Amino acid sequence: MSFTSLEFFVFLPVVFALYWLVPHKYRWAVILVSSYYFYMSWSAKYAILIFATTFISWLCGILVEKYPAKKTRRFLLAATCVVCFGILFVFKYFNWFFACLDTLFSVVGLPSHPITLKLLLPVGISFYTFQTMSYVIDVCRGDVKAERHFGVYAAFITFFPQLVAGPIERSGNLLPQIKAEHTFSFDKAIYGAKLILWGYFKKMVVADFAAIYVDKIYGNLPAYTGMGCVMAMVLFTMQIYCDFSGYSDIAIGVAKMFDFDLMTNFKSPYFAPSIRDFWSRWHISLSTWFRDYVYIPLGGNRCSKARRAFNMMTTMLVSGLWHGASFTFVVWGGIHGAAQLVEDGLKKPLSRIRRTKIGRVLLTLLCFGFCNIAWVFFRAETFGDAFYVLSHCLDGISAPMRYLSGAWADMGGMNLLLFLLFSGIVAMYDLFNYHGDIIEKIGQKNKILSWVMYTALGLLVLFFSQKGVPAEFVYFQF
Amino acid sequence: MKKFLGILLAYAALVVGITLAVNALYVKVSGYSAEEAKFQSVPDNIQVCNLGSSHGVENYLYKEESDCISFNFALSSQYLSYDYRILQHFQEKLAEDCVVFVNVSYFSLFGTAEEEQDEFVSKNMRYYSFLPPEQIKAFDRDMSVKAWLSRYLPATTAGGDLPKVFLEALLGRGDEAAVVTADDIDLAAETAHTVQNHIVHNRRNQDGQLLLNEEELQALYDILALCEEKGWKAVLVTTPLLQEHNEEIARVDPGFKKSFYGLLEQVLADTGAEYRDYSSDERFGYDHSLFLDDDHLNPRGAEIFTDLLVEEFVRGGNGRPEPSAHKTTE
Repeated sequence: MSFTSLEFFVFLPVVFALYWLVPHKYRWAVILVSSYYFYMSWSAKYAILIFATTFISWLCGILVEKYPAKKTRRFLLAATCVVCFGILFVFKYFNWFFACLDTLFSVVGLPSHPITLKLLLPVGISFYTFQTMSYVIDVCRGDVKAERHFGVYAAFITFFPQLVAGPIERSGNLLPQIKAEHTFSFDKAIYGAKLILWGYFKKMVVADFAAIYVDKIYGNLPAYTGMGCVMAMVLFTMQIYCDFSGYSDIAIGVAKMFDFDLMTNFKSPYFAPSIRDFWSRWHISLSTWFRDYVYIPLGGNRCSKARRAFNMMTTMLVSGLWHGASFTFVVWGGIHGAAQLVEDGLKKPLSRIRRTKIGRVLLTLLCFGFCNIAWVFFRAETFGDAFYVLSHCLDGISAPMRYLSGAWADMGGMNLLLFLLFSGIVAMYDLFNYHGDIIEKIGQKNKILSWVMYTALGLLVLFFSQKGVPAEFVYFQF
Repeated sequence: MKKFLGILLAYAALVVGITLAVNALYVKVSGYSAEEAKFQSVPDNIQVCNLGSSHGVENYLYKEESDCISFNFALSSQYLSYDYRILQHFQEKLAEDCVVFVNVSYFSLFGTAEEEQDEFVSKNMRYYSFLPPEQIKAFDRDMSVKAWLSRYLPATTAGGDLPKVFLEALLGRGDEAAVVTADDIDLAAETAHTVQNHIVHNRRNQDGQLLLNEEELQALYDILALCEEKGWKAVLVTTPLLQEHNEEIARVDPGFKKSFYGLLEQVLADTGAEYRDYSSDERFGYDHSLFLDDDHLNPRGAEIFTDLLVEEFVRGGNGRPEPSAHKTTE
């Protein structure tokens, strides 16, 4: 079951009704059972892994508070890390790690015996592992108190709106909300419903539409040059953003209907005027996780320039690796890290440019262009594919009209126009969201305008979504 | 809570209402009619029928005044494997002595699996409305929703065609003269395009060699076996083509027909089935007025052609029609 499957449209109303009908003291149980049901509809046997991760991290929290000595805390933290990250390693990185080792052995002339495990990557494993580890680290640091109630803690870890693809919640935010008494809030529920609609628009209309052409082009790269490669790049840029932010919108919107406030995960990242700013707006829950648990413990920026650069690159490389067991992801992370180092080095001239409006616009466009290029490494399965796309983008540009007509030929005129229109709607939404909250603004301004807008949005989802075409959320593979 | 649920219901009603209105307008303006809708009213005791792709859809036209119960099971771009599934599913509808025209076009037995073709997913949807899940290739429950929508609310699955249809209606482009004969189109371009699709595209491996589609060949055998088991008269038919089409095939791949007929002869030898090859029939091949394009008859041509087959195999007429013998070499 995912947010775009039919079962979810039955599941959600049932859980919604149960949650609000049941007395407050049992609501954690409704969340827990429904969340496990949600997860097990994908794969029942892998629910064992979540349970194991949940139990071990909960137990660690209890023991850390019971035995607060520094050495014991460190031991417990290390043991939990080994187990939880170990599970993640086995399912996500084992085969890749031993394939790399095998390659290394071959290069140096040593005998190699490649080991592979035939394991399916459990959906959401990267997300819930990081969520449990953030809890354990926070308890070890004394930032939060350990949760004694296993059921409440398990509900926090498995809260179904954010279970499989985030936002990666901090215990300080979500855990108290699991325990708190909730009253149905009309304003919050309506806000949530509107956000869910935007999420479905981004995912089912823009992302799934782009995915068709991205998969087609990447599936047969030699057949495409020039504008075809540019389209692959730009379409994926929109696909990954609309897919993931669409999921987050739905997750946050669903949570609001239950009177929960999840953290904002995206805040108009493609309007960022710098890569550093981009990372404060893209997958915020993950980037702040890496900031708080990797970058700052390494020393952050309170150290020498060289050390700061090392901390930045390490954090970005690990962030890339989090996304997948492939060097293309690592390089993607590295590219972003390198870009931030360059920005650090050019701090003064860049901040002068940023003071002017035209300067900010130019920097925003530059940043967006950079992201397009970096995403190629994220999407391509091999470096060969990535370099092919990048090196063939300008093929045929000496005949500009013919070059541009490539987009028309590949997608069809009407589809291209529709895609530009829908992307334009997303861009406007993000532009207005950059400094404020467009949903609130529209809701306050004019009720009729609000009704017209959301009716139009719903109709666009109904008429232009890629119904029935298998289109799993991109971040499910992480 | 009541206010929230009330607003949700009002919103849903508004969206559904507008959707139904837009859909009705779309169906009216586009003249949309699902080609698979005919399977909702398959008659009983069918005495003559045909299977096939668009060659089956366009080239067979049974006279309405005929006392013979007939049905056209063909669908555009349909593969033999689906011909077999349809025949299996509707077997109870066929009379004991039914005559089944099994269309075998030049492209029928070659190429990669249907599931690997472009448009497979969208094409496969039409079977959801009349075949059971076990008969549908790569059955997907989520796709059955889209198939339902495509059948009853086609505007919601039209995608880019939706604004296109309304724009064309507004600009009055829908009133272009209908194609009546092959002389109304750019025949040379159309022929080149058709032959590329039928003989080259997705029919060859990376070395350019013709790929035998084992699944489709097996489907042909299965169809003939089912006909024999049920006592139906199976007749393999290659429908008429314009001479330009044959010439284009000879130009693109001189050895192609030898491969096709060699394979077909093996099938005929294995099964003892009858075969009628109208692909180079001079009564059709040089008469543009009987064709819509290089490989599809127009209604007049289809009526004449179908009558020939019905006369021979159903009415048991005296004057046996004489299609030209197929040539294994060009």
